[in-house]
Amino acid sequence: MLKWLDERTGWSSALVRLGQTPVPGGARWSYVFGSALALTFLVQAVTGLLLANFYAPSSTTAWASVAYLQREVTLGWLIRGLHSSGASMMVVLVALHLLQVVVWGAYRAPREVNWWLGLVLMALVFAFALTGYLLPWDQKGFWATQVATSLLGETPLVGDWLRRVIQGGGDYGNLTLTHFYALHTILLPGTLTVFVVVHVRLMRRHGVTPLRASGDSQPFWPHQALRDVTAMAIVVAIMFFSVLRTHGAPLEAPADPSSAYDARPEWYFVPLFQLLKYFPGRLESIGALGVPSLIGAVLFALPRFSRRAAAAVVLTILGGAAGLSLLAHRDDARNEGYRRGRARADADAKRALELAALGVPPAGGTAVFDNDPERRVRQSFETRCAGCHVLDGVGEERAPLLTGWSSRAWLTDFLKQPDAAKYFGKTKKLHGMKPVKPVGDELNALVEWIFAQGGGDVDAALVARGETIWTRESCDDCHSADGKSEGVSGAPNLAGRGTLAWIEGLIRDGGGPLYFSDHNEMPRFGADKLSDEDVAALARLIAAGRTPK
Amino acid sequence: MTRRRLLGALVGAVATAIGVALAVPAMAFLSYPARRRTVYGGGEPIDVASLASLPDGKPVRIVVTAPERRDAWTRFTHVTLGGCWLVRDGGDVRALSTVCPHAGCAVDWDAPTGAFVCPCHDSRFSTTGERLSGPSPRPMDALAVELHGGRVRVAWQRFKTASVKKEPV
Ligand code: FES
Repeated sequence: MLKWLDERTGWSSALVRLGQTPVPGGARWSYVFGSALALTFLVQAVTGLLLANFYAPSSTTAWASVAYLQREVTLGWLIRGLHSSGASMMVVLVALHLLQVVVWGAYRAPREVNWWLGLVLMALVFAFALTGYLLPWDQKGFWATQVATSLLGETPLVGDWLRRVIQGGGDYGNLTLTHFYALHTILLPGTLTVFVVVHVRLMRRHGVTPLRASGDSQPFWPHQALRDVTAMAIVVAIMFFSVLRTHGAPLEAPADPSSAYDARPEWYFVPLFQLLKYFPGRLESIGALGVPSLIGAVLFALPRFSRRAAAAVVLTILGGAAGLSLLAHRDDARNEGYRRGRARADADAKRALELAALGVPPAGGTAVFDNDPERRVRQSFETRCAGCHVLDGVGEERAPLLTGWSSRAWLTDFLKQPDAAKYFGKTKKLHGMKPVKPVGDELNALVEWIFAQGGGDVDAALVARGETIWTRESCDDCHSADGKSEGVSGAPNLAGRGTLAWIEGLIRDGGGPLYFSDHNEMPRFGADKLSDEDVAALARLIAAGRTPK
Repeated sequence: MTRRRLLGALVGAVATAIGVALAVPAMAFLSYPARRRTVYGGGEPIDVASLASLPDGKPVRIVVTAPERRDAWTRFTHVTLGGCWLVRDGGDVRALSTVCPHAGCAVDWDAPTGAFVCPCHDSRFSTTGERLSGPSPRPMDALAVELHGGRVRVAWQRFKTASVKKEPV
């Protein structure tokens, strides 16, 4: 079978030839970086393909799908983590590879073209990192990438056009994700593959460059092969280890364009980020584009440099980057505001992921927070109650105020002016209650008695006194407080008024005999409109106003 | 020579180890949808009509809407699952999926002939769903019905088309 295939393709002789490729100066550990990079790229391709099976690039689904694959799909966290640590690994290996090539003098004639191809490959690796960072559409990726695209827009002449083309319009949205996704998964991999093939072909044409010229050489197989494959194993082991240690790449809260988020790029862009701090205002584009362009130009011209000078240049660049990263780190450590923001973002991220377990509403992204019971109840208040009631500044004033509803302060104010606009001033049938006459201590006592109907900590002596005032002032001409009898002209029975059960009953049917009976104007919220849980949550929300914090 | 072989075998072993370390989690990840449900909700009985509103013997077409449905990461509310024909028979109700068992077209009711007709390839069914004629491999698919306090509840389900056996998809 293999023989049959070999006769037609010659694959085994090709392999043998590959194995016999001479390694000048003998097998060396210093030659392993290229193949380690190739393997990392392969890992990225495989994990990327896996992730693509569960990822949906749109502003409504990106975050939700990543959250899903991160927490629901078997080993999703591991695959995503490997893809992320693979990106870091590529940057590290690119730097090591570059350093090795420079120190060994492999960048010089006749290998200039391959050196330049290597530089293009390096740029592609950074482009991969940049485009991939946005795809989860979380706070971190969203804000960090904003910085990158707005800097791109600063490019002279074509900047604005370029930015709009790449980000799919003037603003971030669906097209930004589809564009970045196409770049990240189709254009960049295709381009990189072509360049890698040419790069490797050229490398095989010229051979590796031994540090010191020596006559003897060794075939690739098996000595160099063993070194290469060992390096690959170490790289993969480091990636696994870092993913297991951190439980994969973090996923922050969904992108929220309205939030204040102090963005930091991924570590390999931090030097550039720090550099921008030193180029204030209009000079920023010099820092953002000028410095990297300068570095690019110097690296391009490197084949004209001696080995010593070239090594000095590359070490300066790497050292400078490391120094800038340290400075950035120190700045953040000293920045109290940043640390607080960071803690908040972490808490948001945790909460968002928990809530995503219930499924993300179709609006996607930040709509995941609607799963939060607190948000849900506020939403049902907005849709069901806010047309007539005001609560915490939300809603219209057509029926009694619900902010601090039936707290002592609310009751005191209400008793003084029941027909004020914020209470029953705007209802049609519910009128006729007169302001109560008692003031000062007597009013306080009456309020305490009414408050006591809803339970909670009360002053018993004051309640007892309040009850006598309630009778004396003939409140019971209209109101009952026995929990059984219907009041006059829609005056509610005050027994249990303010308890959760009382509020729930009112929401379900305000026209009940113990509530506003035939004077009721509030819609009934039956089981078809609000579930038991929704009613209970609303009751809790309203009752919370009785005891302001 | 043996040393060479040994080194070669070692290379193979390390390479295989790398491959396995990556392939095993990759397979576990990729096969998730084969082992787990990715879409759920809506299979439970859903309130669709009151018994009193159904005329005796005359099929009524209704739409089954699920209050909530999970599709991988998205939680939809009020999702249209599909249609079904309700046929009342005294105090009993039969629910027949509108999905034709032949190739999935929507089966219609032909009042003049008093039979269900599929417009695509002209399969005909009786009011009980029995196949009368046409290419359909089996009777119309009955759905589980629950009567509860004068209300009709239907558990909507999709079945494999073009097979003699009625199997849920
Ligand atoms: S689909 Fe109904 S008869 Fe073919």
